[in-house]
Amino acid sequence: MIPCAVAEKFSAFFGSRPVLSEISLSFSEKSVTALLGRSGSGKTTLLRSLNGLNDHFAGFRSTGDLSVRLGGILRPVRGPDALPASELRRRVGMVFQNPNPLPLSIRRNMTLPLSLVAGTEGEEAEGVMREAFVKVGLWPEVSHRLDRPAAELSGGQQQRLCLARAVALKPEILLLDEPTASLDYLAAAGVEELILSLKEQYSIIMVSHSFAQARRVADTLVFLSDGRVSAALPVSDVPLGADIGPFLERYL
Amino acid sequence: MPPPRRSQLWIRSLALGVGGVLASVFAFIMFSALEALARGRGLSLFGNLWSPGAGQFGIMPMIAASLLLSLSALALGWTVSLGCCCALHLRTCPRLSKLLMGILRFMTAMPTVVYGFAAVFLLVPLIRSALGGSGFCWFTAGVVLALQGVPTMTLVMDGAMASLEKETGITSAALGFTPLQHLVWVVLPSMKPWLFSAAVLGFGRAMGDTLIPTMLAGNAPQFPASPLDSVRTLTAHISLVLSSDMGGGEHLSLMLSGGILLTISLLVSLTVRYISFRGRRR
Amino acid sequence: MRCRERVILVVSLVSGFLVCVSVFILMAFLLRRGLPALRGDLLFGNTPVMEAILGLKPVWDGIWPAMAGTLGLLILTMSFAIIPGVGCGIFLACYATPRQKEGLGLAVDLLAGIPSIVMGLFGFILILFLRRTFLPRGTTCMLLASFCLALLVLPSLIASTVSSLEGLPEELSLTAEALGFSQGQALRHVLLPAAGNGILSGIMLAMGRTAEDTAVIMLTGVVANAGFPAGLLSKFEALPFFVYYTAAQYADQQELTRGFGAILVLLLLSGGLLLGSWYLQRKLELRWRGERG
Repeated sequence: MIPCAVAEKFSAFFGSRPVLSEISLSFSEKSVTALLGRSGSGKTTLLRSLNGLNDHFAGFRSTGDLSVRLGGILRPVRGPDALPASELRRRVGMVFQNPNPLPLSIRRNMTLPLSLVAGTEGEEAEGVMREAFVKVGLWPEVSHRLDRPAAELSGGQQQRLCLARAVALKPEILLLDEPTASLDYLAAAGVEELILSLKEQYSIIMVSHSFAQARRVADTLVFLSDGRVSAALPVSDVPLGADIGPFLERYL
Repeated sequence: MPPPRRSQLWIRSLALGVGGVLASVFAFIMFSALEALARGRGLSLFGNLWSPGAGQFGIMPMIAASLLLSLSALALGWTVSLGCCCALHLRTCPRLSKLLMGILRFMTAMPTVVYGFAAVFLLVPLIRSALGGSGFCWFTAGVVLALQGVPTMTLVMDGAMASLEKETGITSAALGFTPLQHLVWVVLPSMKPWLFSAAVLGFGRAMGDTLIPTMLAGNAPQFPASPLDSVRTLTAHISLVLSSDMGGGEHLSLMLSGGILLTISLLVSLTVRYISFRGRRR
Repeated sequence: MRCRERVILVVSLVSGFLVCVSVFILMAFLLRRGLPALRGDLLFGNTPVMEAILGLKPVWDGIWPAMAGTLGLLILTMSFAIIPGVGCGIFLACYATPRQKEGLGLAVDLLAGIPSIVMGLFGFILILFLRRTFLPRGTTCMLLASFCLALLVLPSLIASTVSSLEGLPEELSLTAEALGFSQGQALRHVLLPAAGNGILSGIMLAMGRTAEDTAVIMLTGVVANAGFPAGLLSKFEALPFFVYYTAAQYADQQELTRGFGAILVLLLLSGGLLLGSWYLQRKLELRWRGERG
């Protein structure tokens, strides 16, 4: 197995409060890894460590090693050998729990990051945008109103827009933070299907609030508890039916 | 929505009293201005010449001076405020931003008369020796008025920018934007209403300021031909004429000036209110 | 880096720099010229201190009369403004129906935008009116000036009261009501104490505005040589007017130095009020945020 990201005794703190303690773990490439755990177990912090987004908050500190494989080379996320934050975040895309389109038009939501971060402009950017919209199945719904405010879209559409926005930047790893938590049942099902279709091309790491969903979508499940990894196992090793209760009890 | 609660009598009557006093302020000034208009026929109150000796009481030069001075001060002050507001949010050097914020807060408490006084002894001689003239002119007053307006406008913009930045900051960071890119391409385009309302507010303040024009603009009732010319604003006109005496035409011109200033300030307040109301609804 | 980014970056750096430097130069200038004036005789000149303080003997070469005038204005203005201002704020925050809120809020907004010289003009028109009707011998005086200043600071008092009451956590009034308090009781024993610091800090800001305003008093009775304020119905001196007057009319270097001294005293007063209001506001914020942070 080729890893897309590796953590080695990785610990993280906000102020003096430890959030992750000595995590050692590797995430495999071109597959879906789901992070599961109670709230406060450190799932989101681990996810945000992978694209250095925790630096956005004051008082964040980390020790140990955390690297991601980009362009075939394993690089640390922080420190002197790390990529610049902007480059790292372009190549490690992220989608949040709540759909967060920028307060701009649908078109600008796609073309602004393309031009600022990837340097893609004009006709070429339009092409990339269309391709990304097609990929997330949003093109027929937005093609006639690209210059309307993105806030007019429904929740599910907004979330797919955010996915398209991340995908358009040609990332190698996609981080999804409970991408369906704020969506209704139908919209969530659509996004889940999308995740399954995207794993051919991207390494996907997602935080999930639902064990059932993780089992449907993921190849590997990682259980976090109090900032430590309590289990990491392929989805085929997870028991079915009545054994599930004690199983979850043990790891969460 | 809870039903309207029964309030204690004294608090109700207090509010009523305050409302009544406010209304009477407007009524008094507006009535006096209208009275001035009615009684001042033949005195050419809206004429272009102020020459009490010759029976000419035109306040057009003062209106022009007020508009020119406050618009030029606004152009400079608004730009600097926008710059300061961005500087507060650049995240490159938090300590400097904090220092700037402290200075701006301090400036809000600085009495206007202090700006005027310091400028009389610092800026006026400088301009006199560098650009000629007396130094008491449109330009000097404009610069000081701009500086004086900066903290108010910056704090208005800062409030909007802080909340917008908080809303979209993490998204931009996740997309790989630098703080500067985030500010320029995401935050600024969506805070246009606030930028506009800061400008309107700044205009109102500049228009209503009395001491800086009185102390620095030279007070000659004329249409300025260059920034180095002396001008007299409506506010300065009121303070100057009143502190001398009160004959017929002069007195009427004063009431009219007050009415005009009040009308402008009402328009400004209504505009700001309208914008913020629309902003909230969005 | 794009053109627009570069422009914004340059504008912000230049503006920040300009503002900081201007304020530093201004303060350095005022301190350099004003500190030598801060001596014992700045206030009272050659007049014996006790007699000067009590206004028994006139002070010719000190700023005590102006200071006394400003203090008098502060006290009078606040006694005019605090009860209506805070009361009206409480009404708006707790009792007003949406329509009353809209109407009174609009009036307060409009009043807040009135230039202070126009408020002064109002005082002047008012006294002319009174002279024609009830008070043939009325004249501009300290009472009139304080009344107009009170009108000037009323909107900011109302606004700060409303925002400190509305800034309280919603559960607070719910809890009080759930305990069976009547609305008046909840207000008096729970909400007002909780919002007290915020209201007080608004009052201090209003005091700062009162102390620094020059335009209003210029039209309502301030003069350069009134001496110690003789009473509510007499003319008076005030610090900001003293500064304004000195800038234009100083006769010798000594008078000018006294002007700089007066500026420092004025700055000290308004700076102190600002710091006080800051401190109170911070304390209030910490109180509601402290547990979580």
